[in-house]
Amino acid sequence: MSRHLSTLVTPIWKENPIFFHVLGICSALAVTTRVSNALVMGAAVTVTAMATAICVSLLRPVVHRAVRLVVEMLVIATFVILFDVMLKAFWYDMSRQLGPYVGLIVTNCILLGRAEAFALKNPVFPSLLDGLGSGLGYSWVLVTVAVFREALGAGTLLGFPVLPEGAQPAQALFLPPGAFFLMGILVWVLSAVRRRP
Amino acid sequence: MSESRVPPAVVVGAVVLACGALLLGAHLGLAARIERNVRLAQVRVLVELVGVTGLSDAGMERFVADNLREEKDGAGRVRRWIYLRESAVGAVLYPMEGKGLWGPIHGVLAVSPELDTILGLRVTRHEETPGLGAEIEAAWFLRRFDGLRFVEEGDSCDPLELRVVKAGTARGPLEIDGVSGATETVRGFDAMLTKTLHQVLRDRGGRP
Repeated sequence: MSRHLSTLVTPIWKENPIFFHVLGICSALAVTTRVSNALVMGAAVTVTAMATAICVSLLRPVVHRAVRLVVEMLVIATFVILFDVMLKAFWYDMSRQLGPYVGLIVTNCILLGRAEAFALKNPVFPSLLDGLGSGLGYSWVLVTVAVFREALGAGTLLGFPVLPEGAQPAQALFLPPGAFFLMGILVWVLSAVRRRP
Repeated sequence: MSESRVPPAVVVGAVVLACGALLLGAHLGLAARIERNVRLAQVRVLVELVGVTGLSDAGMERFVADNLREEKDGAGRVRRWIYLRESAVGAVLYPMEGKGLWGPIHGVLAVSPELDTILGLRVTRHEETPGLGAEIEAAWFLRRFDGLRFVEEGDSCDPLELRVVKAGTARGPLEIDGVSGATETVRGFDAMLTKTLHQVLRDRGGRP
């Protein structure tokens, strides 16, 4: 596998930010009641992670070690606020549904973690791929959890009914503890699959 | 990374300026659009509360302008909206304002023309905890108030004690189950609703 491809794929599968590093769990539990919410949240993290990776990598030659965290946080916060403002302007309903969680991406460890561990040490293109991979790695786990929660908890998928007539949705899955159990099971299953030779 | 000759302060200053400029630009460029979205969300609530559906954004704004008469108080704030349907009063809408756990709660209450029954209510703005207090804006909770009569039969002006109580403890038709895990929010919501209902009862003196 080429080096670039491996940079992209590693954070999606082998070192997935959620089930390998267990980062970004808070938002993963909060916004996964609907597949549409999970998709937008995943897009938000992916876009901001890519933008952050590009900027941090570009600034790499001039940033002194002592101020690197300040610079990283400034860049992350700026892109997250930009995304939040755009969402408010162009998709207000979705912005209301996601509530504070888009703004809270600022504190998402995936972004700062990848900026520190990768973008600060690598050229722009690999950093971009790493950001994209991390964002996609986060997104697909989020969407998977959301598919289970929305289908079994509310009986719909992207708003369309999926449960057979008369079936009672399991509301427990819709509540935060339901997400916790589901996430735990998913991390368990995926870790088991990943470790198989 | 650490071998750079550019002083750290200069780098940080430049990044701050660039980020600031970017955010300022975005804010200036999109503020009008966001304001319009907020206004449209309010308009949509009014339209939904009087039972009209299927209008476009512009259609909703026109509908509100044509069919809802705004009444203001001395300070110039909207006191209530009177919905006129075929020249008769179809509903009266009251803005609600109260305090939640984290910040203000805003909403709209729709009552019947006789000012004795709740037609529906909506929460338009709040800062409550997502998943807990924020559930006060959810349909499953607000539906509990639909069609609730809050004055005695006949023309009495005595308010019946409509109360929002701890989840799972409601007894009788005038106690409404709150949201579990959101005691403070529910208390604020109850106070807001009570305050608004008292205003409605004062208005029963002179019908719209």
